[in-house]
Amino acid sequence: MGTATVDNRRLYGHAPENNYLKHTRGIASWMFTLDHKRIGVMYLVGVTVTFLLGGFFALVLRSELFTPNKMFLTEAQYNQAFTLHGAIMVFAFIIPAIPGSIGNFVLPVMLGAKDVAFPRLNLSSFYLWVIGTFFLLVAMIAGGLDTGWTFYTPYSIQTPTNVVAATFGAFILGFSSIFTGLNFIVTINTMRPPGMTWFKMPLFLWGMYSTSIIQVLATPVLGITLLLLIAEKLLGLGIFNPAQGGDPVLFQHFFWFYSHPAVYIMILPGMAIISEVISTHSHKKVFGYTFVALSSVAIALLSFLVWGHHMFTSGQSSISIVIFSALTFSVAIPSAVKVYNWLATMFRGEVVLTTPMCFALAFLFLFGIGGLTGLFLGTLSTDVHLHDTYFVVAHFHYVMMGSTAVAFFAGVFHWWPKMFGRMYNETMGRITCLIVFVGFNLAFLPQFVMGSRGMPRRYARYDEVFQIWHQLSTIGALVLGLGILLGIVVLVRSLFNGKRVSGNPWGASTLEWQTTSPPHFHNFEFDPYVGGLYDYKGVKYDESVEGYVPIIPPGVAAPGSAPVPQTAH
Amino acid sequence: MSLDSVLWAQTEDYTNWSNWDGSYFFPQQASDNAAAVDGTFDLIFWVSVFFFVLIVVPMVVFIVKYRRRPGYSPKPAQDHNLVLELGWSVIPTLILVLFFVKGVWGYMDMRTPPDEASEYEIQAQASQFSWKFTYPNGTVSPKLVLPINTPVRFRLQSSDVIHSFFIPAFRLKHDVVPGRFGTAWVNPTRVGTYRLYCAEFCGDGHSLMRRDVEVVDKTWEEVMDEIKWKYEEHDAWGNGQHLYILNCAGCHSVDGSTKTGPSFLDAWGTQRETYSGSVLFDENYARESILDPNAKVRTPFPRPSAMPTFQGKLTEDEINYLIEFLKDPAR
Ligand code: HEC
Ligand SMILES: [Cu+2]
Ligand SMILES: [Cu+2]
Repeated sequence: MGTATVDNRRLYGHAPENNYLKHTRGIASWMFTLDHKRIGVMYLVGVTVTFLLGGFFALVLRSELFTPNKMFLTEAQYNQAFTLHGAIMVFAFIIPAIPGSIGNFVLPVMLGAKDVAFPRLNLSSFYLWVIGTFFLLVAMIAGGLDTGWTFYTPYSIQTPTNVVAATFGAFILGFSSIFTGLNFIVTINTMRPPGMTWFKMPLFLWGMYSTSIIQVLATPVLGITLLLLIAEKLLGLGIFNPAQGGDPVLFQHFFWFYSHPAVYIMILPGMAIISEVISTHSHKKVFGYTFVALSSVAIALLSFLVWGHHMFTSGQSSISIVIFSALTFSVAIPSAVKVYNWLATMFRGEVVLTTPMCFALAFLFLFGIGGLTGLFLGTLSTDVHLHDTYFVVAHFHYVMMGSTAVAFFAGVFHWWPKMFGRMYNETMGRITCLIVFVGFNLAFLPQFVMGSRGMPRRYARYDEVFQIWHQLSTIGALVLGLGILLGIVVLVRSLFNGKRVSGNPWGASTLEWQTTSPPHFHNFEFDPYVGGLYDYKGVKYDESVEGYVPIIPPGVAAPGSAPVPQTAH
Repeated sequence: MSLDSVLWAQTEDYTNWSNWDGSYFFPQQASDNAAAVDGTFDLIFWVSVFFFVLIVVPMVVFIVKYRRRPGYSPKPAQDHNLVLELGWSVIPTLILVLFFVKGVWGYMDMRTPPDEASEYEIQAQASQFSWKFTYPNGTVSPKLVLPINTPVRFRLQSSDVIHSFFIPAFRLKHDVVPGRFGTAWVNPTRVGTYRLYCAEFCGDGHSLMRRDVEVVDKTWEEVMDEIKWKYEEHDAWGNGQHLYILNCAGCHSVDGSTKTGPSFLDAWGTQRETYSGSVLFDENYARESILDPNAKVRTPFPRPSAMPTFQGKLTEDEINYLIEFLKDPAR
């Protein structure tokens, strides 16, 4: 072992002072911070707020659907509730959630770097998120929004609700997303530490890299489409309006050219988290690392070629429909195979059912259902029947909520001790996971049945034959809501009375665990040692820090034993 | 007779969920394409169940077998295995090819009408928020009635935004896009009453665009004769109600509830507040509203009015029938 001049507690212990949370104080030190960790925390708070708001609308609309006829919402109010639920959840929560919060916090530390490549761009991306979300809220308060999150023309041209504010908000949120993506691409390309080649990079980074490619390439198309829609509304251009000779289906093409890849902007970061969590809590290298890494890139590229599957019934030519169906199946393969790689990771591992691991296992279950039900929709003859029914609603909730959001929870619970230096109550964490799991399935399994039985989506009123399924679903949604609230309570409580943790409580192997918890404000006081990737034999438990520390091989200078290079500010 | 029962009447089958007479996943198969769709669905379903079990069972076994516990130390394991990984890439791929081919096959059958179908074409006109069917003999009706075992084509048209023509029992769906014609066809194979839904979100009354579809054991000639509305057989009010259902019910209720437009209940003879001052709801105002909705727009409804003009779409007689109906819509 190298001779450390600095003791392990300073390197890998709990950092009561000197960490990024404490080194400066006051509201301004947060608002103008360029520290990726603080920006990540601000994102975490922000997306939690939008998640609760979107969830609130979900519960409102699910409650209305408890009875087939009017309970407490008019049709118009119901339509606003589902639109705001969708728009807020998609644009202000799911897309930014993982890259913005966990990505921002973890990515540079995982690289052993001090920050992202462009810290100012990073902060502006956060403020664009705030402004974009603000415009969505303006739409909500001033005029409402009732087009569905898809803004289909010509209804969106006709409706008197505030489509302009909402699309402008989504437009700005798009730029926030592009900035984050650009930053991550450059950071990963240029700031990897010596010794970390592409194929020695943790899978989280591969996932974020693939996500960023889509963000940068696809989002501009959404931006242009939404600007055109605004111009259409304000200036009456007539590009999408059939009354003026425009083509409403063109809007759908433009919209899905972004929004299908966006599905992968949502799920790839989730998969990225799951790779880390399953590996860490099974204490074993991810099975088929190369395949999992490359499949993320494959998914990112293929995702650009399948948008037409959202329009199988809108009258495209048969030949294009057949091609889109084939391409859709091709993107299913890399996703499906990842699931088996994760399972094989647990084989002969050392599985510990921590809270993040429980969420990751829930992910495998839910993503399995979400992915397999996608096959019914990629197959042409069955899609014609299932399209725009609750079957589709259930399918994408399994993928967006059941997979991405659950992976997000897994990630938050996994990195929470790193972010705040405190451990939450594990028993309560597992109970949270159980409630979320049960509530989620109760909410969405019945929707498959009513969907294939013919219940169309976006219906404020419905035929009584579907009532029992709607009621089960509503009860499930309430249980799910309770589970999520409990999770927030468990986490927030830990900030006050959680046990203090060391730098590496899980025995993880990636670099972000080789600094203190919470991390030093420069991430690492001394450059970390880059050992083998997912080498769980490379860490050992150290009584003095009450956590794991890396084993530095003989002949290698331990962190802190060499003079610290001074970085100019 | 209440109007609701004419419009979105809940037929016996739909009044109680325990009366469901379809299979677990599907409504009754009422067209000759339905069985093929269900067969493909079932195939995918059972293959999916198989692969899902292949996820969940190993997961549970691994959690139990490889959990960290005193005295357990993991045996060495490979961290990749080319044969295994290729295996679980290639086998699912082959299965997906099978699904793809079956799907394309079924889809082509659904999209290609048999030659006989061109004999009978029904024009289905969707508008916010109603359906209107024009039969081959020119009869216009809000009802969709089809003779059994007779292939029929639909020509789909929208007069405003995108709707979607969805009849679950036929496994039939096609978007109704303004500015272009859509076509669909079906060969109904089972007598009964089914549901027609609008499946594409189209505004406030989207969920009210559900209607009954009747398949009857009759010939085309009998059906068309039965469905034909003969003005001379009804009084003026009855004709007015018929026209109301065809043209206005999507936006105007007769039970006091506000939809896209104001309700007609107890409206006649009252003062109405418009952006151009207060007016009496009388023959002139009604006529003007029908022919030029923007002349006087009711507050607080948005301007320009969401109501389309019926200039040139309704005859003088028909406007008079409607006025007769408006005088006492709840009769
Ligand atoms: C697409 C929706 C729509 C359809 C279809 C529609 N209307 Fe309207 N109608 C409205 C709206 C909205 C208003 C209120 C704004 C206005 O005054 O134009 C209105 C207002 C009216 C008024 C004035 C009502 C009042 O309370 O002062 C009359 C009369 C009327 N419509 C008759 C008809 C008749 C008759 C038909 C069928 C032939 C019809 N409308 C079809 C939307 C519709
Ligand atoms: Cu898609
Ligand atoms: Cu509709």
